[in-house]
Amino acid sequence: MPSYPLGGELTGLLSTGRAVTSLQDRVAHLYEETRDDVYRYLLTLGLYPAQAQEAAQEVFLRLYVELRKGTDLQNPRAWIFRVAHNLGLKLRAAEQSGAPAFDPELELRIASREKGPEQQLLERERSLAFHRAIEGLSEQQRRCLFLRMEGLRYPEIGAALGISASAVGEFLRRAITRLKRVGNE
Amino acid sequence: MNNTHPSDDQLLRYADGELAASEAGVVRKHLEACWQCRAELEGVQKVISGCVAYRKTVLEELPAPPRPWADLYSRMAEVDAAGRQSFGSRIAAALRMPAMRRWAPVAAALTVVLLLNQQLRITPSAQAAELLRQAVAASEARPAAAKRIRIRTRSKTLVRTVNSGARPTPIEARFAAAHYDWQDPLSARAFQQWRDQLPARQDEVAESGGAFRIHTTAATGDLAEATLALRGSDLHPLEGTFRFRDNEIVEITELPAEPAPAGEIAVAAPSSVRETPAPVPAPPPAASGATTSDELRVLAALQAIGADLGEAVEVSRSNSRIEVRGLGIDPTRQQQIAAALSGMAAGLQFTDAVPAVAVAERTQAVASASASELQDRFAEKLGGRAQLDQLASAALNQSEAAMARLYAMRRLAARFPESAALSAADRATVLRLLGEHARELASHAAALERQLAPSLASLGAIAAPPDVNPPSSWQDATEQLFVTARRAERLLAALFGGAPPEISAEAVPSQLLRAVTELKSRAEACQRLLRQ
Repeated sequence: MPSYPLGGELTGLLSTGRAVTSLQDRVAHLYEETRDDVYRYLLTLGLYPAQAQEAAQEVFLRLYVELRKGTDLQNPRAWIFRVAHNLGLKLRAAEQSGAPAFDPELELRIASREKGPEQQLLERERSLAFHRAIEGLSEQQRRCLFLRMEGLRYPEIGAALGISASAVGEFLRRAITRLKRVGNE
Repeated sequence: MNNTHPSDDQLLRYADGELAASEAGVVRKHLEACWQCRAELEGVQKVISGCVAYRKTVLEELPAPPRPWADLYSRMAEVDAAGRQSFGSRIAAALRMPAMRRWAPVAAALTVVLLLNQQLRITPSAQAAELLRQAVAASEARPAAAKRIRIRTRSKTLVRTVNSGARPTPIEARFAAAHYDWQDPLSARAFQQWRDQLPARQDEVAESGGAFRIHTTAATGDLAEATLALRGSDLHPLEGTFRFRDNEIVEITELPAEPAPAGEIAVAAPSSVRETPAPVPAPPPAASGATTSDELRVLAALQAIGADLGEAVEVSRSNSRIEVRGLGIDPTRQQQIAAALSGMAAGLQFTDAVPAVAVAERTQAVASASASELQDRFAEKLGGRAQLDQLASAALNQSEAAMARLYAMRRLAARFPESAALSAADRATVLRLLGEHARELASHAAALERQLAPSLASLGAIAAPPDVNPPSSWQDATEQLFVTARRAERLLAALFGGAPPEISAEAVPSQLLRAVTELKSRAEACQRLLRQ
């Protein structure tokens, strides 16, 4: 039976095992931290809850595959949302033949929010107005805004949407300008 | 003071920290001085606050995320396994079902398969138990008909009719000693009973081409491992492979039902088999019908276009003519085959393949700890997983090509046994066809050796001159080659993943190197024999 230098063998095995474990832990940690946000973001793209749930897991598995390849991700959160965004749109596109996008009837829900006493009325009105203003934004403006809300920087949003960082700035500026009017009304 | 007010765009970028440092500095200085712009900026901040509040509202109103979320660790483990699967599944497919891997004209009812697919998410052991349970139930629902099976050991091939009171045989004693019911060996019940009585076992369940394969390795007992292939549509057993501790291998396949004498008959006698992959000899030619020479011409024409290497093209001889049947051959290839056979007295018949179940081939190979350790070590020696994958892929291509040649040679050996009376011309044709296969086989074996030898040596493999006795006949040589090639395949599987090694992991590199070298020597010896 051939023999192997024991030390080298053991070190190799241990480090490989440890690397895999710590990588899985890292992804699991990000999963725990980010999955709800990803799930909700996917819902805003029009995915159904079950779809969004499955897609969210898929995103983190892709992240694991990516990290396993040795890719060094500076900002995993941005990477996660970029992948979620593209996956979400792909899933939506695959369904476009008929099935309507998931619509949680947000307006109705916001309008009927149980916020208690009369003084909350104003806030509710403002929420509704804000919601309508956001609904009124162009698709690109809204996408930029939603990704920005998730903490992505301009270049990261650009990478997700396939546009330049300066275009992201421009879309956001217009979105903010329109939303400003709500506040001023 | 700087009189140029920053634009909306600049203000937003400033608030978002997206401005270059120098530009941000300019804007900050301006803001300190300019109330108007500060108010503008406050407006922007207010919208941002609005957005944050809105996001919170929306999040609250959207359907709540699942509680609890599915565990990601198990799926990451699947990803890890899948990394080895690309070739692992190929190996598993190649290893388990020599006959079925390229043929399997298997009907597949989606419902059963989908149902099982759900269950395939559970552990291999539970899968195996469940599949067997369902297969037993399914077989009990069917009327017990007499069925014919072909039993192939290293030394002989038998045909036996089950459920008709067979005579005891030496094989029976072997199976009895292994606690495997010989009454109906190719049945889910027999497999299940054997499996259930094992004190320790390891299961694998693979699914491909519309069939399930249960592979059980026993830690103890005379029967070291057994594989049962079940048709996806009705879980009807198609083939069983049994490897005993002394390395005797018994393959059992079902033959089409047909009135046959009860008991076992040696298959040098006539029996025409259509749906089994390796045809047993066809009946002797009728005086006016197609001759062996006609058949050989067809075989040679098919070999010339490589249609004997794994495609579902089958040649049989009826009394009057040669029948060539193709299953699931694409139209272009059909034309090529028709063109190659034009002018020959051959009936050509193509059938569309039964639509395969649209599930990706999925092998849940349980690489044993020692197997994956071996792999990790090998990957490290080679300089990384990518290198390992590359080598695995290249080696498997060679080994697959070699096996395709061997299956073709084996079909010829089965069709023209030593006892077959051939005219000098026919004999020359057979030898020429074989010679071609042997030459290609030798070159694949040599390539395999070249690819593997340096890396195996780095793992401590010690080369040993192969101990190859000159074969007595080419049929004999083919069988020995086949056994060697299968051994090499298994060792490749152990090295590259997908199968637990049967021997200690440390011994795998040396054994593999030996098997490959032996394969090359045997192929060369076979070539020499054929030239004589």
